[in-house]
Amino acid sequence: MNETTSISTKEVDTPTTEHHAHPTGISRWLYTTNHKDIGSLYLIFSFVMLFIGGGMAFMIRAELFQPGLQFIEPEFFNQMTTMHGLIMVFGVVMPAFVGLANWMVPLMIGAPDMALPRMNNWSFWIMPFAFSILLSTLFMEGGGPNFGWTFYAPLSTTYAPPSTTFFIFGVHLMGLSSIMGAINIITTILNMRAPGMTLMKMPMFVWTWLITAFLLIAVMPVLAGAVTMMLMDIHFGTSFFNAAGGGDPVLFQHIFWFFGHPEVYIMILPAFGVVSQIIPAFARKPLFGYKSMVYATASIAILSFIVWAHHMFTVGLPAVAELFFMYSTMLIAIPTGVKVFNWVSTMFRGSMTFEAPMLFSVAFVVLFTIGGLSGLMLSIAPADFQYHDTYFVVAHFHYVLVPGAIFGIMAAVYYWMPKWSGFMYNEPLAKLHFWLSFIGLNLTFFPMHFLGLAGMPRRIPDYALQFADFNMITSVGAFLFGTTQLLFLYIVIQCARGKGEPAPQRPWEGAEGLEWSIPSPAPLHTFDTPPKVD
Amino acid sequence: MAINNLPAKLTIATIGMFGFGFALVPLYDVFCDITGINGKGFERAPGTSNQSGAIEASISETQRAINVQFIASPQSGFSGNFYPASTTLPASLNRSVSTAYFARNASDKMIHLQAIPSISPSEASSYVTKMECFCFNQQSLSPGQTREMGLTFKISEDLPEHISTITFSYSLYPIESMSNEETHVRIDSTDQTGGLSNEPST
Amino acid sequence: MLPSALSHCLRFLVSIFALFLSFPTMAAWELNMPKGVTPISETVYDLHMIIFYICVVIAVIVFGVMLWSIFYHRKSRGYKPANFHESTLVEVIWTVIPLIILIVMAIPATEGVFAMYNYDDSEVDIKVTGYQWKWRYEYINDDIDFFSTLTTTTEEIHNQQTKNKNYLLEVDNPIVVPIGKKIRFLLTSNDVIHSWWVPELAVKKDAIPGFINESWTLVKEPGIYRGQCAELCGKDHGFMPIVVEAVEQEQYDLWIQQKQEETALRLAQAAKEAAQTWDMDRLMASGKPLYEKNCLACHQANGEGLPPVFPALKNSPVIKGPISEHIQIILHGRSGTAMAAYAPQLSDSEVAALVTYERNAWGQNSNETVQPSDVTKLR
Repeated sequence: MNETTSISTKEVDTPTTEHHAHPTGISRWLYTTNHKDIGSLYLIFSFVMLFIGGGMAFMIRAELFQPGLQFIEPEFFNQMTTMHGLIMVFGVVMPAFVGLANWMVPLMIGAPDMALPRMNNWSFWIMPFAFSILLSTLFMEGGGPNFGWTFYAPLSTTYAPPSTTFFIFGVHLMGLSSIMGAINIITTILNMRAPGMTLMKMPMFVWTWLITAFLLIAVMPVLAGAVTMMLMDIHFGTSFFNAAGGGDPVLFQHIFWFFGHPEVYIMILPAFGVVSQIIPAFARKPLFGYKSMVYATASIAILSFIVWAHHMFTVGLPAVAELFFMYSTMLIAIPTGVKVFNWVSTMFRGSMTFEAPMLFSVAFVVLFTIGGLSGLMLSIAPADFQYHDTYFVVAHFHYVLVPGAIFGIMAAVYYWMPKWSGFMYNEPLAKLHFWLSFIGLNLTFFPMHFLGLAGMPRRIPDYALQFADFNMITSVGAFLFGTTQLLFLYIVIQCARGKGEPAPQRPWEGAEGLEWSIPSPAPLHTFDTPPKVD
Repeated sequence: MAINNLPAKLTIATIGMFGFGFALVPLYDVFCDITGINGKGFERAPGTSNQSGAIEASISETQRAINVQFIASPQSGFSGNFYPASTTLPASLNRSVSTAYFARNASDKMIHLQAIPSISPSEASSYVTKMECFCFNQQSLSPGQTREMGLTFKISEDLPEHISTITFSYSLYPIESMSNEETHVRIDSTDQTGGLSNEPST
Repeated sequence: MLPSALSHCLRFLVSIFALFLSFPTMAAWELNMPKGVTPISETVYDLHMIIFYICVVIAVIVFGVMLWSIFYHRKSRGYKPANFHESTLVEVIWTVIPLIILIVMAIPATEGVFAMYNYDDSEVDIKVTGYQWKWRYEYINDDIDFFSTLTTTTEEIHNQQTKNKNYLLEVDNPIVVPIGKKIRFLLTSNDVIHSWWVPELAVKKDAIPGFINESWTLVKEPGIYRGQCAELCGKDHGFMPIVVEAVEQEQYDLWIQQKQEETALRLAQAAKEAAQTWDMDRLMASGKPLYEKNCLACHQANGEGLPPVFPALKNSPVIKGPISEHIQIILHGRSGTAMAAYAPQLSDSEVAALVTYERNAWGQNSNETVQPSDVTKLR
């Protein structure tokens, strides 16, 4: 991208004088309106949630290590699968990307801060409350949500445990937080770009986040509507989803997936942005097809609104609807393919080095493509009758989300950590972290394809004997992958504590962008005077 | 002042999308009606059963016969029995057919019931007109009572050739009391107000 | 529950390697989807394989170029970066080629959808109803109606007994179908959404409360085909398998006849038993196994349930209240709960035994006995 955005590094702006009195200790974090502090808070929060959600995955895999019930009862198993999904989606991936946006978007577009700093504080501090409420349901009478992260009615309404009301409240709060975050990001990007930073000069990460933020505004309210209807069905005697009162349980699935499919792209588009920053940097070659990358991202976002019923091929849709949703889903392969081809072309005839961010990004491209191809298989309606609700689907979305979203986040952390902390992370350990994660995750999720094809349904606490061997491999892989993340924690803490080489202003030879024009660590206030972008 | 405007616009968009979530409910009904998706898309023409003779006479030349199956699903909590008068009936297209279901109250209390209709294949449901159906109204049965509940319907001659069997299904749900539930019941989108704010047919 | 689960996990970690070494290999390393025994399952299998191979080819090309770059275009080999970053022609090519591939895929897929949606002209119609957590099968034209529940014992599930080879995939009453005949399934549910799935028939359809869905199959080869519920339906979602026995037409006719005779016999037997007066010992003795088969999963062996979703029976208002209410709930179930109607599953004497057991077990000793005739009145 160095042709479209060349930065005059002379304009570096490093104010050392502070504008306000800065509280220290806990009140610094509680009252902060600084985008960097809030970004760090989001990232720390997401990290904590990663270990909570990971602990739940650990229990699931421990139970599934062997056939038979060993450690947890089916009722609790269902709560674990549900909470694992909810926490990973709403507590890990989304806050991590909002955290990255908070840190990097103002730095990348040359803005002094986010457009709405007080709301920014508010949207973060809702999150701990939302998740405390959600996690507290596990200790309530009757247990926490046990109906899967997709909470299909009537299992989540008429037949749900009493704690469902708290679950609904928690979802409302986290939805509120996401929406406020999205409004803030859109306003920042559209209104606060440095002079000369036209839309088509924006870094890909900013572009993908702009599109993601619009998706959030479009679909999070629909989710809020769905849970509100659930609340009304449970407490106010309405029958939106209750067949006995003339409602339709399938309606819930339509509303949920109208939110749910764009949600999937909310979790992956920012990761597309991250690798679109990292691959050119380490290939020392501009991103191939910047414009088509922007258009492809936008097409994926638009298409995401008309494919939702591919999650519902077996609910009894008419043949015409099956065909419509099959075709529209297949179409998504085209813009997604364009993105993959562009990343590969960026690498092609580059001059590549493989530091941790690049390793994670390359693995992202490979493994996300595998997840994308299994997604293409799933889009074929007749075949989906066999794949649907099996471990094949579990394998598919974990391939998209773990090496997709999670590797994207890890790549971003390694890439920008020197800018945040002012120190380089421990490269050999980071490489070890990468390889152990890579092996662990493939060991975990690849055999799931076979399990699904052989006929193992998802969300079951116990299974028939023919599934035993692959389940054992999967569990071993999961333990490896999970424990490896402790190494990640160690690397990040060491780097944050300043145990490492001091980072230069631009630690990566091929990195481009305004964020590298300020010192490392980034001072609390940056770009008080807007930089000039030619 | 674009800076102040944009968040306001985005907030309005958010509220709009929240509303859209709820608008999906009636939109879905319209969608179901067009596609027959949930088997509720049949047309309801209460009170027209007396005209069916005339219709029969006028198009007696079309005599394609199909099979109609009747299925009953009494749901948990209904103390009694629920079954069709006959499991299968032949039906000629464009002719009205009358049959019945029976419900018996085995308890010593008054019970209120709502039957939820469904038609399979769903594609066929838009070719079905029900002139009389116990599913239009809530039913109240006194202790020990057995009621014959009428069903009169007609299948349009436009029914696609490849359909030769239609299944009518009714799930019978016990309902707390009539006044509490009736306002929330949605049976089909073509007639939201008709048979539900009903008089007990006892 | 949470701390105990954690301590379990720790214990588990310690023993993990021991287990890994000692655990016998039980399974075939099944890698692919079964080809199945129906025209649809074969269509689906072929479609699956075509698309899989297309995906493999795409993956090989993309990853091939990528690996080539990774090996040769690296700084450590002194490779100097090129500076190209745009080519409309290339972009158009790799938009159009995938589009063509997709169209090629869409043609057989569309045919597959239409084949699956052709329900007409069936010879056997079976209504399938999902319950928490069992299946009910009604042969619409033959007046056969039965429930099908898991027969794997709790001892096997809790590793106190060796698991047999059909562990979790075995039922008391399999569904029997004739080969070479079109069979139509009409699916609905009594409570939450279930999904009826038999991989080798390639039939998977959701059973939705209040609505009727349909699916069909035509089994080409005799055999026993096993499947499971595919939609999360609560606590015992993993414990409601499906067993389909496909047999020759003559055997099927014989089975129908047997099943009908069995039903008649059972009714006669039930009538005979219902006419008798049962003493406490007899009621309690037959009540216990009935409780264990039908009630234990939710209300637990000690009658204390898993409140608040699965309420306790011991000393509960229902047990302490009038007997007729108690019978009513067992016969007809409770609306909006997992408590299904047992009237179609249990005879009058069985209900009487069950009610007596529930009112006297767990040290309650109410000394109340319930006679089959009390149940007959309320059925």
